[in-house]
Amino acid sequence: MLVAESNQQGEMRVLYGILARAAMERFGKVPKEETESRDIYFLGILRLLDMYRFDSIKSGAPVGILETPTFHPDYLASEQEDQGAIENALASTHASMRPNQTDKNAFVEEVKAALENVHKRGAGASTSARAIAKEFLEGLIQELKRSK
Amino acid sequence: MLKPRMFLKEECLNIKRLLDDTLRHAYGSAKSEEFYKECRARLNSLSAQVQVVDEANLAEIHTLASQINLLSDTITKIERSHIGELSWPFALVIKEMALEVCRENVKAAHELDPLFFFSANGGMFVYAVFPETKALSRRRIFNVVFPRSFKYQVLLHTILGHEIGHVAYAYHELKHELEAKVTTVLLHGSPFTSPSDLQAWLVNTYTQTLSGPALADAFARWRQEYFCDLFGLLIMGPSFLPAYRSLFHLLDHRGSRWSATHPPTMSRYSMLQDALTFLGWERWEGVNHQNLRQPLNSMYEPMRRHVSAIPPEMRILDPNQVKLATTALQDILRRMGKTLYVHPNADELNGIVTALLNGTPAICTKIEARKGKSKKRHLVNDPIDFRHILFAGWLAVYHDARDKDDLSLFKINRLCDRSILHQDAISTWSEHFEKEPVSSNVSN
Repeated sequence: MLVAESNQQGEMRVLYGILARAAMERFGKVPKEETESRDIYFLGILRLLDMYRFDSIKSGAPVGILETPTFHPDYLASEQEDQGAIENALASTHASMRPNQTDKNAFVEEVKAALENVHKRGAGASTSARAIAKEFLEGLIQELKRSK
Repeated sequence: MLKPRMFLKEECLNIKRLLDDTLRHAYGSAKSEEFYKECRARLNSLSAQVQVVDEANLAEIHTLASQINLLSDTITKIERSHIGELSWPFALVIKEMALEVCRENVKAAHELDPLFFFSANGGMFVYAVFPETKALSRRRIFNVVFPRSFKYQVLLHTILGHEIGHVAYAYHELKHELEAKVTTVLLHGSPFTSPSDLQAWLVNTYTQTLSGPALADAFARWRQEYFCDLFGLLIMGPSFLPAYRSLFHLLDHRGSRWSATHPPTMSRYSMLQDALTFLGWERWEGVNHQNLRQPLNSMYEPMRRHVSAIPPEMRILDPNQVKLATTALQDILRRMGKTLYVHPNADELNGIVTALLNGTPAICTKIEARKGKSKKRHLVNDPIDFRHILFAGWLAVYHDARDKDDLSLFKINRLCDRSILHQDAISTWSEHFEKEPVSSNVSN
């Protein structure tokens, strides 16, 4: 296995925690040289929300190789445990933010709209968008930490 | 020992130098700037996190190190990708097709379109399209891999249609739609509708027991593989089949090899045959052109005979479900530019096969007079779909009249490669000079 492919237990959940925190820290106006980094943090969270919406966090990564290698069961177990923790963290954040809204689609739409507003408008984002985005990111960070 | 955070800071600076040394200047392609910008953005985002990470938070430090490694790996792979090692005319057309499939956000004016780079490795079975799933990114970067020894073997490259299917699965919204409308329909009534069904089937057929993560992984992968086979056939057309069979026969000559990552090859042959029958490509009623009927029969008949001998336990998917899934996938592909393969006009295909048999690349252009009083002439470009060229190439391979010494498999491949290249060049020229005449004094 390549070093770059190694997967420490819980690596993706740590990564999403870093992303969420970095996005939180960039709610305001950011220097021009930081716009690309800001894009990366917000896009990472927006893509994660889509994974949650479409139930694809736990379904495994696609491997487009003609002769696919067989993965070691320990690696698969570690990866699936990591994916499960991320999905649970999102579900808990969802439940705590909108306890009466079971529809994932509506929840994701609302949070994505808020995050996109903050991402594009920075300090000029609407107060409600900032509040929703902040609540979501803080909740996600907490839940990801709890799953460690 | 170096302190981990200091070490990572140093490595970020190293990668900045690496990036400036390679992608900024030395990578000759016009697209290198896009790769440079994307990698720079990734590096800046990681550097910013290395600056603020708590020295005592080893989990975060490890994760950042892993991401920095991924970035370094990507940059060096891009640096080492040499387009001269593969058929770049084919690489360009496959890139256009893949872009249509995996455009993440149509509204974003293509600014977030994924990037593709191509490389060649040793081995006949290294064909791959690696989707990035774990890297931090603005734009995803895909690495398409060809076998180095197959530089001109474009007829085999149609296997990449299957790998692009995996790329489609890397996009969550599209994957969700494909799972619901295609894969679930395709596998309805088969042993692959739940992990427990798969487990029971594996015990009966292979006396294999999988459980937990391994079973969940096999279940997801097997389902995806069937989908990708159908996807490959529908985007590449008939030339997908001989390439697929040529490669898979070498990988698994019995067709029943046990693999946790792929369903039995025989069952996949059977599914593809059912799709082929439904699509009507095999019979192609009413086509009796001299250079088509015989090679069509020679290409398809052995496949049909082989599939008819497959034991019932390996004919896993219901032909009626294959038909329904094929129709559903066709509908989805129709909205993705020109990704859906459309069968050619028989006269056109006959012309291409004839050209190849005569040892000339096939292009479809002519110079004709403009309408009206003007005597100026212009180029009429009626581009040939590269998939028709490859289909014709396979028919030339199966043609009885082919003099195997004079028109070797290698030469047919090269002619197809050249045909795709010429066609692309003419189309580019034609688009650029669309309103300009070819010449004002061309004589008859």
